[in-house]
Amino acid sequence: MNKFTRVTGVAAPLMRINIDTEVVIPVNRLIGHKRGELGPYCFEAWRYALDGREDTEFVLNQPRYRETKILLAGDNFGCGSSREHAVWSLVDFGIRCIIAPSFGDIFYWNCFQNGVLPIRLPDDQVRELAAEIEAAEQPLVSVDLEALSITMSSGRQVAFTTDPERRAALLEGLDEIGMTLKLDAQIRAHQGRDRESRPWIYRREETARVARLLVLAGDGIGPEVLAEVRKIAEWFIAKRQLSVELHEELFGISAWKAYGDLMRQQTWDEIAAADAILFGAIGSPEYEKIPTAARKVDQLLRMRKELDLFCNLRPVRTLPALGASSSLRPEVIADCDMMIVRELCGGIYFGEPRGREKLNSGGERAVNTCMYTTDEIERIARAAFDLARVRSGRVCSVDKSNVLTETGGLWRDTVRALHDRHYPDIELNHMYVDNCAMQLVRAPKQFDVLVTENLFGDILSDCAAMVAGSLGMLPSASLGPVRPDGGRHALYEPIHGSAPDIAGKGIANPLGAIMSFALCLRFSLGLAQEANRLERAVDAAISHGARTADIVQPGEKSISTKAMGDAVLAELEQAQ
Amino acid sequence: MPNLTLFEKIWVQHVVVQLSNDLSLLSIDRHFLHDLEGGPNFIRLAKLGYRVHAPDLTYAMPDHAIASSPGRTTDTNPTGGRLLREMRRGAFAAGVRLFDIGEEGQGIVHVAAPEMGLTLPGATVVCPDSHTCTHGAFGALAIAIGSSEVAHVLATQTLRQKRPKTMRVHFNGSRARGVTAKDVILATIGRLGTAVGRGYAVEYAGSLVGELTIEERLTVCNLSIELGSKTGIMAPDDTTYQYLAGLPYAPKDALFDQAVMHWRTLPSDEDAEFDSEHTIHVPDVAPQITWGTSPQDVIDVSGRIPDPSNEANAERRKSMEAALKYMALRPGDAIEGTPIDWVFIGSCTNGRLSDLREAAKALAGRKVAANIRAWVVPGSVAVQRAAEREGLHRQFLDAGFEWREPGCSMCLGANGDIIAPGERSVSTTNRNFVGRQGAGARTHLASPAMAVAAAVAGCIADIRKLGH
Repeated sequence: MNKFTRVTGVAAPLMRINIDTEVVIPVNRLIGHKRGELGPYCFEAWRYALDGREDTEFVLNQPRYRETKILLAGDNFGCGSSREHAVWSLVDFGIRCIIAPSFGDIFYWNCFQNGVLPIRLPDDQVRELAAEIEAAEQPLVSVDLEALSITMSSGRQVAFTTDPERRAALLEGLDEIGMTLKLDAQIRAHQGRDRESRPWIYRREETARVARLLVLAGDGIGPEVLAEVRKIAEWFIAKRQLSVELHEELFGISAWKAYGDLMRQQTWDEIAAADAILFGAIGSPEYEKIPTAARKVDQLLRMRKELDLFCNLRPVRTLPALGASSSLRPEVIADCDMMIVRELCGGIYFGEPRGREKLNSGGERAVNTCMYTTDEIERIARAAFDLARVRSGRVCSVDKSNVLTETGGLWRDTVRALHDRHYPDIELNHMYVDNCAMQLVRAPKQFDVLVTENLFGDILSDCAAMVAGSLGMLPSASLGPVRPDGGRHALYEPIHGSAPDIAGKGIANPLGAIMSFALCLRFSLGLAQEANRLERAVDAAISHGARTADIVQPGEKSISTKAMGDAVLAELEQAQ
Repeated sequence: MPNLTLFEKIWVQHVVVQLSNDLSLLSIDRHFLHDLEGGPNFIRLAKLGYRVHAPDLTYAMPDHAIASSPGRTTDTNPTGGRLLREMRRGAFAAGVRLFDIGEEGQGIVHVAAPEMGLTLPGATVVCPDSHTCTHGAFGALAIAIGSSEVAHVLATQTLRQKRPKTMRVHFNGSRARGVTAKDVILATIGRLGTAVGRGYAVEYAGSLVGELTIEERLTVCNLSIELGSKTGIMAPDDTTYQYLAGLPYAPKDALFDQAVMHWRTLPSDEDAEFDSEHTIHVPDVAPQITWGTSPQDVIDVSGRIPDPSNEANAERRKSMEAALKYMALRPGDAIEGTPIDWVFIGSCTNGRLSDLREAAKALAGRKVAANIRAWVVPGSVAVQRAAEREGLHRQFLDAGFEWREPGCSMCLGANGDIIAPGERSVSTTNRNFVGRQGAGARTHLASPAMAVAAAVAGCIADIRKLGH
């Protein structure tokens, strides 16, 4: 904001009463033009006739009053609409000071926010000054905020008063937000007390809701990376007033070892009751030792199906510092930021009939079925369109409709119809899956949001992972439909698997799991700014050189899983 | 402390710190954003490096710049589309709830927010729109703010505010037949002028207030800014609490009961003193219509256009002459019978379900006169759907009205819904300034019933004479 100490220049008398902010700047101009460009439209209705020619009678168009810096006006200047653009257009026009008997309240305070000095003087004094200006050879006036004095071209001085705090701020060109944030501790203390005495302002139910997060670390490196996620979550609980309860259940081989059951009822109950699941990984050679009957059901697929976690999100973006880790050339992967939206509960992974049978003629026959309904396609497409709306507004729908004319055709038709009916503001294109696989390694920057069916999504997202440089960096979210109470089931997991070969060594990259927790903050807990905070802390740790074994470059030193978790914590502390 | 006014009680509760003699830092309970200021301020805040202090107390929806044409989409008005995109992205990044087009909950912010139970008695409510005073109908301290103040509230959840003086306007008695809340407040502005409330927080009291429905109270409070006051407030009562019970964003169960107990302590104390008081004798109020370019330029529909030569004050006389020239009206003429081109029913003043019911009732199966274009723009998606369930839209369409999508629309034409230079409209809106509805547009403010009367007659008409 510009300081206002002393302004000397042309003063013009615009002695009309009730000059409203709409005549200062009409609404179509304030929408169509940015601050800084509003000068030509200031007092448009008075400066120009409807045909666009200047009205030479209007005071500000007269040669004598060109380049006016100081305006004199009648009562109630700036009444009407609250548009701050009125002040901005006056500033863009060149006016720095307005002298009037009275001002519209909102306009008056808007002036101080923008380096414009509004001076209130009694009506007869303003008229006197106006008359003096009109009679003077040159209508020059000087306004001194420090001395609180107006000096006319004759040398006559007129004193004025103004709000002392506003004067101090104008003299220093101070931003009010900065001034107020100095009082942050008092603000928070007041809010804390207010939450106790008027809780209905802050919530609708009697007791504040505490979200239940369930940690299922699972196999392999799962427990190691989730331990770092716990540290991060606990930091948010302690330092950012995160209102969650962390529960934990054994899952995978450890559950088998403890309970002789890969999914005991208590664990399933916890899963059903959780607001969000923080998942590690599954996969271990030790499953071979478990009787086939006991491991017939894939528990993770069961969770996806029974909680109806149909919407799988895999964000993939390039971190410049990790460019060298990718198998793709740096210029190919630079500036990538895409979101793969994968349908997770339908398609060929779940379709019936499925089976494997021996043939009488010898050999076997195996069947998997790919099936999709309109509803299944619509709900995942809707999720993709909604996400695109808050990103770059582009969706690429991926199918194989040229060959799989039934499922692929239904997919393409349904996505297109939904787009045309409800999301015409989104740019939609369609791509065959084989082409898409190629495009992901040829020119991944072209993508914003991709949406596709279960199998294609599984394959393409691992392909896209190479853009980021390492599987260890990538998070995912699997979300269910929104329930009537507004909640939805959700499971957050890094996309790397259990990595049994490095399990227990303390070298796994925890950032995929940590970024999955950031997705949890954003999509389950509605805390977008806390998610931003965590994501920035991860970016900062990377840009300050923290590297686990999977992303370390020759000559760099790699750090342990724990040390990477600590590095992120340090960045969070630093930014507090 | 004894003998406090409703305004003072809320003010004192919300002062975080006294900054100087008359400047306080107030905590803000509800921050409403619309499409003209939402996106730009999210962007500004990010540029300044500040976070949103309380995303959970912030709510956003597009209303000013979005198109109102049936089936409108994001980009039907391209500028509206650009602003809506900015607001979508900014709200998502900050975790602010956005009620997007097509969603139940979208509408003109001063219509949609109260009907969801977002506005509560005793709350401080701010929004970058001069008609934020509307929310005072609930006994909330609702203050219009400017763009820089939006950024300040986003960053700190507080507002620097000079404490206003207090004014009470008594509405005594009941309305005559055919007279609505809109007429009462228009007549009040005509009587007291557009500067009377400047520097004051106005409380509306008197026997009429208790008789008004919530929607009628919203209409009255809506025009507080046209009295010069940034805030207009009414005491909450059982009507208020019954309205709020069960609304999606209002407190529930035991929390609701606890809130009501507190709200009952809010109304002005018996012996509370105001810095200024005025009285309006309500039975005297007739259906109103504005003639000039300020809401205070208003007369009874049965009256004659005033003569500037009768005006002693030179400034006021010049102002009246300019207004009459702009409006192409002659002193001394009866205003009834002035031919019109447009009728607009909608806005945060009169775009609610009861307003549409009032309009449909006044219509009584008649048709819009030839050569008149007439629009009904429901104030919110909820109003639109309720009106359609009741078949009101059929009545409007059959009569020759256009039935359009919720938003501010022609009240101020920010979305391109303007009328041509020289065209004359009767609008259920709140402002008739020069160029408000388009360059050279001539606006006459009135109630929904009066707007229907004009639509049917093809000219300014007295609803009482039209018969049902």
